[in-house]
Amino acid sequence: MNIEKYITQRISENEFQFFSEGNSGKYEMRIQFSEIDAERSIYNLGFGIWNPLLGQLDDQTEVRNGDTDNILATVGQHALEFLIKNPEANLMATGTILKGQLALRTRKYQMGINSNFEFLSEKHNIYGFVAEKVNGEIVGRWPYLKGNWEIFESGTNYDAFLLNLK
Amino acid sequence: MASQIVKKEEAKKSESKVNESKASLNKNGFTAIESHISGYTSFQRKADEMKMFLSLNPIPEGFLKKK
Repeated sequence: MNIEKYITQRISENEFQFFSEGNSGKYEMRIQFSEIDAERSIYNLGFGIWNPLLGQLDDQTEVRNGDTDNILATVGQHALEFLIKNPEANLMATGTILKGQLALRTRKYQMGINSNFEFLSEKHNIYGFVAEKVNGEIVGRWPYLKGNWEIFESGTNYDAFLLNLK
Repeated sequence: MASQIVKKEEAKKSESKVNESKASLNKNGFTAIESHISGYTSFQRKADEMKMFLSLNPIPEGFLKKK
């Protein structure tokens, strides 16, 4: 948790803005917590590059800014703050979940949890979703996957994560 | 039969090259591939995908924080 984080600005109740600055330039980023299931207080943690011209997240922009760890630390900090502010919330996060694709963001989430596991597990329950795989490749296409939710254990590769307060 | 095996091996090599290329794209950060596949075009789309994902893979009640 000692990685330098970006300063963020609140855009709305559950949305934050910050700027990624690195070797490719400066990019506006957004973090948002979206309610998935009101009854069970399940939220999705999302973040991405904001296109101010289109007024939406841009799925065509490729950012290789060399600051992925800073971005993820910033997002992680907001995730923990969100749970403090919403102690009944269940927060989900995932990156790419498709066979044949590198799940970079998911792996980064996993590395972040692993490296801070002792700190996180003091006050949080951490769970992971393992998608069905054949020869290491996920069966099916996102979001039509099948698999199992488990208690998070270091050393296991997960395809989605769930965090809530103890 | 032998030609089929050769073709399969060629397909594997080709796939390997594609994966190497993707690895190269991914090594420093996010890619269009990842952002597109992950549904980050809009938070709402991602939320909708998550709803579908959870309907197929419900989180065990014991894992959820109770209100």
